[in-house]
Amino acid sequence: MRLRIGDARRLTSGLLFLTIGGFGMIYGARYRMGSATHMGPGYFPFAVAALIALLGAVSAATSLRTEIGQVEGPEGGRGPIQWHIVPLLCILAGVVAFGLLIEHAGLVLAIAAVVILGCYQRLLTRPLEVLAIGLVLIAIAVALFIHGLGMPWHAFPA
Amino acid sequence: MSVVDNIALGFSVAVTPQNFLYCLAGAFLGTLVGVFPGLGPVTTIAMLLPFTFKLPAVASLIMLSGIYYGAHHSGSTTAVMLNMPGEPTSVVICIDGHPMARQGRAGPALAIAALASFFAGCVAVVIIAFFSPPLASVGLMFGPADYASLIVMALVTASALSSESLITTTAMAALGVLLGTVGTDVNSGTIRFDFGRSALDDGVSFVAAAVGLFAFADVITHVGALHERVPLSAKITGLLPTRADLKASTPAILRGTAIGSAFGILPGTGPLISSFASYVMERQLAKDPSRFGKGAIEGVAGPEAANNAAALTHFIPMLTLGIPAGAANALLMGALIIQGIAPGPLLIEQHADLFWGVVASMWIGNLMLLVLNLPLVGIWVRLLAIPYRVLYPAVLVFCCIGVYSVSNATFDLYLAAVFAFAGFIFKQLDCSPAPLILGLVLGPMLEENTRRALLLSRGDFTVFLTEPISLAMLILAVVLVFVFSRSAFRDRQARLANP
Repeated sequence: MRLRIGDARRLTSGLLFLTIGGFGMIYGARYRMGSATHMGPGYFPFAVAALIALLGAVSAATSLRTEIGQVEGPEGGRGPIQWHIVPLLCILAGVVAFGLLIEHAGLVLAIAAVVILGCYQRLLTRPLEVLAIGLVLIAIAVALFIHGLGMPWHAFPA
Repeated sequence: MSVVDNIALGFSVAVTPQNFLYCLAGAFLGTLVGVFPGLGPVTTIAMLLPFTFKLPAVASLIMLSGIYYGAHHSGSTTAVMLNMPGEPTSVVICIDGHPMARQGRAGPALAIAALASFFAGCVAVVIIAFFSPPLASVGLMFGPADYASLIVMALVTASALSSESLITTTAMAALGVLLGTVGTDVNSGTIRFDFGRSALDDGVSFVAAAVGLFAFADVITHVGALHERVPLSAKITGLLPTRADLKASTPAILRGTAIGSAFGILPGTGPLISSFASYVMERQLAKDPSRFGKGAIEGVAGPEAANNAAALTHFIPMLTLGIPAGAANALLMGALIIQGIAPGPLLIEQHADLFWGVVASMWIGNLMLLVLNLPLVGIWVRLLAIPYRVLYPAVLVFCCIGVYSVSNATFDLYLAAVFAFAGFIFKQLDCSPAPLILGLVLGPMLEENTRRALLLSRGDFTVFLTEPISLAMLILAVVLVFVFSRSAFRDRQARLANP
């Protein structure tokens, strides 16, 4: 008999919740628990983390159980998990770059970084389009937020 | 004061030139941003938050509400024209709205949607005016155990209404509650789960969480699967619905409004279930159910009315009990808290001008939406032709600005990036992020009330079952879970029967 995973997503998410809940219980154990009457700072988070771990365990276990009866495709009709690694990294990098740049390098460079990283696919194939998007967004943002709303941000490196 | 006096007070606040302008600006901007495919109410509110921070409290809430219902309304335009739900609530509008557009009847579909929205909005405003004060006085009777059970009910209901497995969504809500405990514990002053970062002392910014989980995670998924969108095939030829359209729509609009208002008052439900329930009801009542899915106008009119009625009546539990329904509503409530207004049973009494001003502005805003949308529908439709590859860099930039503007903290951007990663994973694993946001906003209240309830009962957990209001809330939660999971079960059965 071959073991098939009926619902890979449920199994993965269940294990993820089990891990998060377990981590919350271990990390949260450093805070004073107290009693139900006089709860310390650790009581409530520990209970919630335990609940998450429990739900995760149940979810993972039931996903294994349904697998036996399931005969159809291994992913329950949907395709395999799509990782989209490059857009994931580029967009996360854009957001982080905005955070690194906004305070000292100013709004203009921060937006430029988001647009350049966000449009990674077209940087070489359609450079003018990316340039145009960047310039328009910079113009709108500087006019609206710095001049219009008077946000206390620099436009350019101070 | 009688209701009439209150409404008069409200209009006197709402029609001052400044507040009127902010109402108009909110409704207009909400519609403008919300019409873009892929931009739901959560993203729209997050992007437009910076515009509301510097305003006085009343103007700010008026503008935020305008953005909120504007964004809810414009989702249907995207659904009809592109068959692309800009937000989950318009999924239902796609079913019959888009076939109408393909038959060259996009104009009447949009006009009926606008009329349905307006009518539902008018009724919802009246319901808010009449039901909020009594509900607030009920709220004043709530003890800590009752509040804790009410929050549990809201979280459980929100979880039960998602399409995914109940265990998964409950775990997401619990995860939100756990994230809500991050930061300083108000009772002991202990700083929890800060990982040595003082930036987390004040807790997790829910704007960062919402933007990361919804806006950024959506962009990552869409860009990853970037294929050019379906071109805009449908054209708008005439706006005016025929007499037959109006005749068919009127009862559907009435029923949709009733369903939306009834569900809207229940905390935790969110507008999706209302529009879905309305659609199912119209199909059941129709003489010829086979027309549905092929451009039946009732399938647009009913759900759109239900959607807007629910979106507005959600303000009742949000403003009078401090319990938001759905993620967009939670974000709105969070923005109010940033403004220093704590929604709850005392709000109507202590901020009468604010409450009634907002209620009156909702009516004005809905009228404005009708006036704006019918002539401007051509412009909205042209906006839909903007390709996603041009649109998403703007979403990224304005969301970054929105997150940063809340407290000028760069840490919030890093947090949003972490949430974007988590949101991407959750999306891949079919875990809906909406219960998490609700848990995050309600978590601190849940902990506070649970602790107080158990302190009063000397650690006796049965207090949640012996207090009558608390028991009623828990029973309601169980009933709702049972009803909704059973109807979901029946749906699955039906889909299996005729795929």
